[in-house]
Amino acid sequence: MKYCSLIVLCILLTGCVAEEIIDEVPILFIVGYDNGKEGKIKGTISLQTFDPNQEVETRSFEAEAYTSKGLRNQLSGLPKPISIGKMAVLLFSEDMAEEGIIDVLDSFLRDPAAGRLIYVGVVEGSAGELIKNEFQYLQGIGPFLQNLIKQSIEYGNMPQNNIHLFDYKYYGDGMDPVVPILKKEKTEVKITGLALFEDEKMVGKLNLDEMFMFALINKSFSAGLYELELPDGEYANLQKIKSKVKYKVKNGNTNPSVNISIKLNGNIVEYTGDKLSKETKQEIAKTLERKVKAHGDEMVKKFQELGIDPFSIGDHARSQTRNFDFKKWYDRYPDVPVTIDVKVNIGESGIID
Amino acid sequence: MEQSKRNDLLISPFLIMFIIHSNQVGVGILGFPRYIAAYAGNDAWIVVIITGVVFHVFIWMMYRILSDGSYDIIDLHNKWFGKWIGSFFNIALMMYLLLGTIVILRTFIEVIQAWMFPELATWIPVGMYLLLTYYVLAGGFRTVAGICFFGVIIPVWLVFTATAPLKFSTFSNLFPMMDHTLQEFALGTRQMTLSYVGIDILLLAYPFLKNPKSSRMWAHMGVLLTTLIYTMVMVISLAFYSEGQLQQSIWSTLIAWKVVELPFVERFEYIGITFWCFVVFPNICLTMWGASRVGKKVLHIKQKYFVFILIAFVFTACVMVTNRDQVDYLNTITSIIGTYVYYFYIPFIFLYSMIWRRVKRRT
Repeated sequence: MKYCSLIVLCILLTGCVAEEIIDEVPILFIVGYDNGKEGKIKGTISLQTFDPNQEVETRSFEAEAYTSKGLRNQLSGLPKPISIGKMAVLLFSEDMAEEGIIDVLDSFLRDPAAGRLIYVGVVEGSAGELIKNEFQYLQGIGPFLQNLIKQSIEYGNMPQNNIHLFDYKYYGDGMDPVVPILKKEKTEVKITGLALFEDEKMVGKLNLDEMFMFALINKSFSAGLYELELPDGEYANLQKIKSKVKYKVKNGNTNPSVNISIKLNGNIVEYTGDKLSKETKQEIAKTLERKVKAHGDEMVKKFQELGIDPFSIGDHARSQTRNFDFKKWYDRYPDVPVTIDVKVNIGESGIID
Repeated sequence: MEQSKRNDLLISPFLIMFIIHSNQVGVGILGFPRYIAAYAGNDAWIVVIITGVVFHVFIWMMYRILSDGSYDIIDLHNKWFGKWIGSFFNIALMMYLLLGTIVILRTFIEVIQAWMFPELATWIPVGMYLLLTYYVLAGGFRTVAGICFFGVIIPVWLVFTATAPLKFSTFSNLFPMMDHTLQEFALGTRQMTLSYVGIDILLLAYPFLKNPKSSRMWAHMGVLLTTLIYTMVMVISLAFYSEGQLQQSIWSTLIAWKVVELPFVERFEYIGITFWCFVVFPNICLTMWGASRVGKKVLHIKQKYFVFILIAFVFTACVMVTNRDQVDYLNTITSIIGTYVYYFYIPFIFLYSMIWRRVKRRT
């Protein structure tokens, strides 16, 4: 009786849902979106099929449709279903990003199979070209770019970003998303800066230097390496730079003013001058202070002119003001006075003087 | 409860903690933050604590209601209101418990269908669940209590996964505190009630406890545990999502699991949902057990057979609900009924029992 029911159960409980076998399902790591013809989206994907005999096959396909999911139907000559569980990077060409990308992101945010740690990036030039050019990356362009961005966030100078944070800032009041900008250069891909968004539309850019300053000011952060030019023409290299940031907003509803105080801590790992004396260290600290402050002021001005708020100043104002009124804030935002105080502390300077 | 109850049918008082806690926590926790935040915004976590305190008061009331002898609410209904009105109350209680079963089971299956198996027909998981439920109910109340214990202990490690969303959290979202009106807090509390209901099982389980009076502390511990877990989930949800984004997220707790990174699995929420089967199961067993008690004592049908009728009923009801809107509707109805049960019925019974006792003492 027992075994009988076991057998019956085995028969009953199989085939309830469609099966997906890992060896046969193509796994999608990356999609690039460009503007297509007649208002369509052109999607380019790079697919990996995992062969039982350990060979990873990478091929790229492209198709055009009006929606992101619609692209899937257009991809002919492709084994289906496509799994997006490991989707890692979504790329948009600059002109597409300028028109708005939330419709495409929405299809990934809506899908339970997609993750929330997907990176979103803007490509200078064509996203499709960047993906189709497989270069010589053994693991495929998708995982390569995922690592590139991940490492720039964890060990480099890029502020944290992914599809979740994009969504967070898109739906949140008083904040705007940022995403990295990538560029294809002959045989490699480079990060060239940060794209600034107004809600879902790209409206501006920061270069690499500004991106680093942005990351330091945006929120408490620990960055990688930074090369600092000193007034006397020498260079110093700072490592393990940690920032502690505090936003103070006064009179958020009536007559707002903002103060951003930043405490930086870093180690000197390289110096081109003769001797790293106490005075030079002080000099280095002062130079960095001036530089962060100058860049910060400039960025805030730029953001206010563009009417965007990547520093989430509006959100800080909300969290520090009772009964905060966003409507009034948005009107006032371009003229809100923002002061930045920077304090740099040089910690270690290596094991020699 | 029959006075001839045997000692080996009873359970240790500490188990009431697991019974109450596991009957409170169900599918609601996977998505409740947005409904509360819709009223109380960044103060939603305070609402969660307030509601928790309110439910401690309900526990206190229930122990006062049950204080003399070893009766359950079914006996008390009959004793206080006579056979006819008492039976009416008892049948209403049974319907309420069954509605609880249906809501929990169907909502959880909707989660499975939305997240894991979109093509899965409803009757398959419902059937499997109900088969298991029968198996447990056939073992009697001690088995049900055991399931409750494991329903809390086995998935307890999931608490640690709460650290993953912290990496992307903004705790300034919780400020400024107490920035909402009294009315918004009240509406939030009413909305939160649905997530806390379930302590009513105490009214039925009471006679099965060894030294029922000494179990009071454990019952409060059960509610306290629920409050702690809900507060944690709420605080993390508020910090992890921006306010507008949270309103978009149907299953916010599950979505937050998406940022858990483990080397052997890409989508952690699949593991989370799987383990949630353990959380949902005691709920179904308890409510079904409660309903079958009513059947036994009021309709005088043997519990063994009555469970079959209940299972058939729940099965049919679950299969008839076919889409998200209907599930939502079911939840709304249960929420309204639950509010009435807790804010009118329990205080009413409480007052009635006080008066009844006083009158009786005088005569």
